[in-house]
Amino acid sequence: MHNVIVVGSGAAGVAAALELSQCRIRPLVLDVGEPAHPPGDVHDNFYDYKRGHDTYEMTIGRDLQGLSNLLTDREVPVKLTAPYIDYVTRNAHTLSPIDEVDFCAIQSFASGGLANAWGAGLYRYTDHDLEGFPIQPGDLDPYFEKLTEEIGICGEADDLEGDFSSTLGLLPPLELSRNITRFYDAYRRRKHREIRIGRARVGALSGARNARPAYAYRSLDFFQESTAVYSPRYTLDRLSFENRIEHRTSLLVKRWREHDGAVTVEARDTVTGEQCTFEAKKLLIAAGAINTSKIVLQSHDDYETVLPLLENPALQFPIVLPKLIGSALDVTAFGLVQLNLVWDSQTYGMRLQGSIMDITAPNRAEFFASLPYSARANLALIRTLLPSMLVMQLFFPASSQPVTHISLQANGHLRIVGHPNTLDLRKLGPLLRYLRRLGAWTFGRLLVRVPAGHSVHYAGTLPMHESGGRYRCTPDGRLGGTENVFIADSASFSRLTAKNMSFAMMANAMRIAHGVAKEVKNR
Amino acid sequence: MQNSPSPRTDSTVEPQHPDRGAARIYAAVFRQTIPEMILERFVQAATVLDRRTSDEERVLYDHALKRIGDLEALELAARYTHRVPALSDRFRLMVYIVETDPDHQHYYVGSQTGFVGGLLSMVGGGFQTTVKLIKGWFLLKRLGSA
Repeated sequence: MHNVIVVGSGAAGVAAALELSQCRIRPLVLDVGEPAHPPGDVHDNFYDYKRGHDTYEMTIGRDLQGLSNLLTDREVPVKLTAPYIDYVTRNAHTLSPIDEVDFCAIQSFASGGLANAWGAGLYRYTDHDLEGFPIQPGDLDPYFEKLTEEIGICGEADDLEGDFSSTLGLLPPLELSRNITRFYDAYRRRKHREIRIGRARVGALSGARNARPAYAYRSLDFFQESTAVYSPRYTLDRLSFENRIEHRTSLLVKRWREHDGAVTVEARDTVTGEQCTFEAKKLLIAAGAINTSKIVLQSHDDYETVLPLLENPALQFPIVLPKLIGSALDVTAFGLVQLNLVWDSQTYGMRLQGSIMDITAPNRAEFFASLPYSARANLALIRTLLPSMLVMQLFFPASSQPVTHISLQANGHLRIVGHPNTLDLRKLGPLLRYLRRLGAWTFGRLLVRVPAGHSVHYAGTLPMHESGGRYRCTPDGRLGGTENVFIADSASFSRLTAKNMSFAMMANAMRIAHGVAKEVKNR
Repeated sequence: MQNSPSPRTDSTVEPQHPDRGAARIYAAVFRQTIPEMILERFVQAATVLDRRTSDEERVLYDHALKRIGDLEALELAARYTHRVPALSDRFRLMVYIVETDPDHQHYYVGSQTGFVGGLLSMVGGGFQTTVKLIKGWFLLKRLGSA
């Protein structure tokens, strides 16, 4: 019998496995584990490379993955369409079919999970974020510190320190691109009482560390993996190599049964189709909020219950810096989030968080259909306007839209019923006016309501409550009605503020794993 | 299909060969003869796109290829009115595929023109777009009554 089984190897599962291994428990980690592609071999700046090499296989791919948003009815975030990253969502809808209404669920069965394609924004939860949770920031702080050391996070003390908390252990920030520098300078000259802007906290290395190289500013962020940007897969591989975990792949966990103080986990081998069972003293489920909920509902043979599913609604819009129209494209920009904006919005009555990015990383063609001119004139806009452009993604708390619901159907499919993104754009007025004061243009026509499901921040299906209860967790992560089953991912979040929850989810997974390790040792 | 002009579905228009669509769209955007490699790649991807194109849309697209001279103007008007999505999708497809070719990079990443040059380019593009849009609306009407 194993001491602990961890289901899932995404950000939460790996964090839980890391903490267990540090508590001298060698967990069995079960997942499907779609393997990553071999590392790419482009060492030039991508724009230099494109001038001398055909990039069809790299950007579109033999199976036309890069065109999937055009060739299929299912639209996904652009980064997930790149051929090198297609393994992240490969077979997801075959392995776990979902009937969706007004929702586009993004699932991953890859080792490392969706974090292989994340923006790597890592933000500590504070008192404000943990309102409604039965835990305090102090409960998570030790794990934030361990994770900061494990991951390597860039950032600095600035106007967002109050929102993002301690800068302890942070690496120096990455270099800002030309456009972002100009925008940030304008902010520092004309601050706003409701709006704060500062450097993003990003899981990317500004200097070489633990055999990982420093980030190289080659504009390859969308088309080739860089180990300078952290993926939980690196920790998973290291723990496995050091024999501190047992990692078994090609296993799709279906359900568990509790008996005589132990848990039996049933899984299907995705290669042979055979059923397998594994026994452990404790089970930590971290399969992602959607699949964790499925495993829980399947274990209860429950085809009736409808669970809430929280997600951050989002808006996306371009910011043009007019003085840079006609300038050369800055091809050395960091392709993920460079600045964050926090807006205590009176018009929306809530705190919102924005990510401000350069747009050098995606294909230029990605912008073609969004621009308003004729085809040839749009190409000219791509050459003259895009070099002056930034993009803002503005995230809202889950509570700003009606709750999405998730249930298990008799045919084994999940059903998710969401709502179209109906965020009120008129309330953006104060923010857009402030951006104009900073010398930036925004265009109403180019403002996009991000489709429901695309933020990929899913949570809250089995929320933590002080007293636990059916389909709830106790503060130590124990699932109501069970003795030895714990929920270690964001399914146990009580609410979802606008702040990206990945870092808090990982810290919480470690907190729960620490408690489980203590129980195992005391048994 | 929503909001589309209604061509005769018993049209005598022959389905247009995918190569012809590729060549016409490439010429509309890049004003040149389509290179062989881009043609092959476009046809391969367009074959997948065809599977999600309804018969009615397909007929409209074939009409457009056969009867409309200025495809760029038609596509612009079609994009604004959400008509003939098969045409707009194929324009997008072409722009994606061409970007992978090293010899076409100058269409996507320009050399520095300076603020005035950039602004003039945008104003010129706006003027060109207005003219094309007006023409495109007439072409859409013509397509609808074909």
